[in-house]
Amino acid sequence: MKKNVVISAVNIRKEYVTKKHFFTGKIKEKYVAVKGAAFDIEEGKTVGIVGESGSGKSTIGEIAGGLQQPTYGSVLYFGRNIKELSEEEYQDYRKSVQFIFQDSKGSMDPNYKIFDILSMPLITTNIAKNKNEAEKLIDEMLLRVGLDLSIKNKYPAEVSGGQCQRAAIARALLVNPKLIICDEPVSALDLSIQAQILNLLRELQRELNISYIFISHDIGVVNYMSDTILVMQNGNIVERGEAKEVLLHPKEKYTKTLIESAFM
Amino acid sequence: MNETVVLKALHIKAGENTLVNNASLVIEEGEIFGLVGESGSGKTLTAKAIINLLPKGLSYSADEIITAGKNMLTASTEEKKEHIGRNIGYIPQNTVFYLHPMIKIKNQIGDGYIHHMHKTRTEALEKAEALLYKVGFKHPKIVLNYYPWQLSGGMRQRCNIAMALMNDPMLIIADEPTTALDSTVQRQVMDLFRTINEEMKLSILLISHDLGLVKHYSHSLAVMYAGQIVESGYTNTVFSNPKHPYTQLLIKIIPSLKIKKNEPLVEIPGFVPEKGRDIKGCVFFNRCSKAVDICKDMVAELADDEQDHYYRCNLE
Repeated sequence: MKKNVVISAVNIRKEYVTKKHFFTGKIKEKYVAVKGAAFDIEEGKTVGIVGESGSGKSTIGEIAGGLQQPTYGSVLYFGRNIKELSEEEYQDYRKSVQFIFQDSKGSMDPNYKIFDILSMPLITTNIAKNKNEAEKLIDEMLLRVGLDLSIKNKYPAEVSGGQCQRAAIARALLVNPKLIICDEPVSALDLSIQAQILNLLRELQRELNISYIFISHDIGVVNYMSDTILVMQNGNIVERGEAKEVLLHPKEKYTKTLIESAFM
Repeated sequence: MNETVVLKALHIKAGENTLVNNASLVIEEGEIFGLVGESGSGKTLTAKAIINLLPKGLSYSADEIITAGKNMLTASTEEKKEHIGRNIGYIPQNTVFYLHPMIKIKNQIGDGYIHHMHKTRTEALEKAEALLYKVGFKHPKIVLNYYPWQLSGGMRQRCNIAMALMNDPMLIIADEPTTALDSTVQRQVMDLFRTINEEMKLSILLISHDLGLVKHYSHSLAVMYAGQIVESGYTNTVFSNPKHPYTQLLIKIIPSLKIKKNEPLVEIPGFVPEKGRDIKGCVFFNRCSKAVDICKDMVAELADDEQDHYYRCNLE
């Protein structure tokens, strides 16, 4: 295994049980969300996943980030199965893989101020020993992602969608991740704000050499962000390749439909 | 050509805070009119003012509101209700909450038709069946027996469209009709709108934040920013010759597949202002790269009458 592969997924399959026998617990019906997916994410590169809702894009992201266990197959972190990692190494893995979601307001506790939300991961991971240290790091990061420092004392409900998404990016970056899984990060934002966030993500990638998994249903956005593209349909990866290659010479009919519906 | 909607100098206020400032638009009969803007720019409020559905607590004033041939400022409340119910169809963004989840499609699709047109349930079902077929269901009878939650988002939106068409309206207001849908389904639904528009000759007010979509489907459009219509005209004219800096930037920003990947995207720095929309100067002043000193104090309303192209900007 090459050293610079951060996460690699090996034949992941994910099934959800939808109907069980009420007494014996025998599985009567199941829904297969991902039917065997394999991919590698190299350091400093972006893998884009595109597909319609229900195609299993988000499930793949969550499995790669350790939020869900695959039914079959395994996730390798720098070549090692995450199930075989020691407690300490597992903590390191969870710290190195961070998430940004579409609904960033929903991903923040409405009862806490932005400062508390951002300082929590710092303190649990022991990056900052106390509040003062955390504040220093947070100030630095807020300026880095283009936010005003006054935002620290606001509640998530008081800031706009674009600002909240920036705060979510700051939260993900604070713990020095190697991979950020961006699950539809700009779908809920206005066009003018969308461009700001995409530029910020790309700038940060160049500076900090982070990898991204970029999940979106908008093939235009995915193309702009990604080095390689995976096209998903009904839980299968139907097409994969270099972003340029996939767009210029799509092989699958489904990819062609996607590209056509993007209004070139 | 006749006008379906005439709106002149609309102001909407919530207490002291101005939400929509001096919005005017004209929708011709049989055209798709796109209303573009970011969230919070006042698109939906403007549309709701046209059909007299503004939320309580907001005050509004206008020089003229004529919807489907009726003056909304002079009509009584009862008259307005009757008129709107018969002549306007409304399609929401959120397909889930618009249909009652516990009632079968067949028992709710005809309600407006029965109420406003004084028809029986049987007549309504016949019409619904024909319309469901028209919007692309191969077996409308089966769909009528479903509950809304048994349908996918695209199917529900088709049901909403059929429901809006029940009374043979003169105008359909589609408020972000495809934002919640996938791009492939979006295409199907938008093509359906175009077919309806061409076959039934009705006007459609298409509200969207997606300029790419509006460019593709509308005949004319208006761009809203912070409660003002900053530019309006025929779609071709506006896209080939955008005058307002905000429109110019919006057009550049559309995430197309032609963007060069090694260059950063064009962005509009800053945020949409939430207060101070009733200032004398230009509302886009703070974010505009071409702004000059005079923009702070006044803004010119320019028009190219030959092309029916209007814009609010001091720059030539």
